[in-house]
Amino acid sequence: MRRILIRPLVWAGWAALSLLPACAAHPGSPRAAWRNPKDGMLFVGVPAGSLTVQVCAEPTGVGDPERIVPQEVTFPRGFWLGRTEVTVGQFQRFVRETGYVTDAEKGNNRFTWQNPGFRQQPSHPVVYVSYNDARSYVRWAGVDVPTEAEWLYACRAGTTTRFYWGDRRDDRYAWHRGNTLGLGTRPVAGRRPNAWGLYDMVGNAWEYCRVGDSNDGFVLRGGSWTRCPEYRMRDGTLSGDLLAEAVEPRLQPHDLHPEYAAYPWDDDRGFRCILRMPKGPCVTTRAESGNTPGRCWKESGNLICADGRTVPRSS
Amino acid sequence: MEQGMTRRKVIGTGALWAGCICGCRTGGEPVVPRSSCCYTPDIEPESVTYGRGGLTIDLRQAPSLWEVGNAAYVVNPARSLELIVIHAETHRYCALSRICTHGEQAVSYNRDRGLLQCNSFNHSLFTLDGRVWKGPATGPLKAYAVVFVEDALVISI
Repeated sequence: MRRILIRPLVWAGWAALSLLPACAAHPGSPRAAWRNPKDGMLFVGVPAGSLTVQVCAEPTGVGDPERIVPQEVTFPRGFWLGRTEVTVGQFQRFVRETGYVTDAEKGNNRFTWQNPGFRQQPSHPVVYVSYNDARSYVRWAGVDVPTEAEWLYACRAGTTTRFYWGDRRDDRYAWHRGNTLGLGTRPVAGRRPNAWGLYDMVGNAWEYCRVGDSNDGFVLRGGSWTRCPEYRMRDGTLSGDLLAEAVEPRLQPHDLHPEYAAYPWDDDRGFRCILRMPKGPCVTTRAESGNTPGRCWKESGNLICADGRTVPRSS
Repeated sequence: MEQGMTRRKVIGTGALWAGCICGCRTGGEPVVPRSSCCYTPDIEPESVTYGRGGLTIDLRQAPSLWEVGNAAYVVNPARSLELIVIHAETHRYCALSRICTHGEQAVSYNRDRGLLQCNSFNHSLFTLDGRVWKGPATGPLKAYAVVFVEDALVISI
């Protein structure tokens, strides 16, 4: 009898908890997650912090050799990053809703995101998308493409080792040409995540990243299923660890990478989405805020922000 | 019970010794280089004879090509020769230029897809007759005629 009385209470409590907007948590709080209603993508909270990256120093005079200097990049508010790369299923939803035609399709390319030259399922990362296609998608989804610094910071998840799992290659964490046998992409989140719960930051599909505040400049990070960890070069020597290179904390000016321009899309290029926290509190109602993290709503006279801040009425 | 454990131990030790003996016997045999989509070995130099119109590979001396799906590089800078030879199917071999027509990087054989893949970032793909399967390369790989004669491959250059 007592059990019968308690059970509905437990269920009611559980239901109330599950209705709380997941975004009400700060990105840094444990297990913080937010699902974008637009495409169903689950976002993981990336806590505030900083990362030291290597950058190319501006030449100080004629004939000045290129210098690589360390620079600290800070993320004071943290942000939300897609737990996985955007999948074929999510991209399908975008195309269905908008009638979008990708650049590869417009260019009558033999292969497209729907026919990449190998078999894909809806759970695989979408490929054969250009950077322009990626930007169209994120606009529709109300999010953005991460900058290279944001991507690197999230990828490393506070680690200082070569990879986010250690210094040596570990096939439990990444899909690459060696363990996919070069047969194609694999379902997202099929390998182990990093410490912040992000999957496939190394391998599966390369990910487009913005170069600074630029709109058109991009780089690709993370490596992919077509990338061997190392291979024999033409002169017979072994290359360096190409997967480690794809995640090393170095900001690259995109004009140093003409290979990106050679082909605007490929069978191993995809992307991941980011949602940044707004700089100041935004005044809106809870209903308007929906479950979008970073938005704020009025409650009990105070301004409650989804990033955890409470702004008193007087301020 | 005690006796059973002892017997199991004896059997286990015996198996270990047997394994060791097998290992010792196979240890004396040559290690056959196996290619993968990430690694292509050089062909055994003693297996190659160069002639006026091409070259001959004595397969008895080329274990790197024994297994179907394997590939090996044949490189001779003195003759400006850079080939990849592939054992595509039983008694079917292919020989192509190993230099990608896009980035001039070496190509490897992907046995699971039956395609040649450039090792560079853009990883152009080619079919076994040299045609471009996926860019950015636009030009085909040069393919050479291969004749299989009595345990040897005669490749016309």
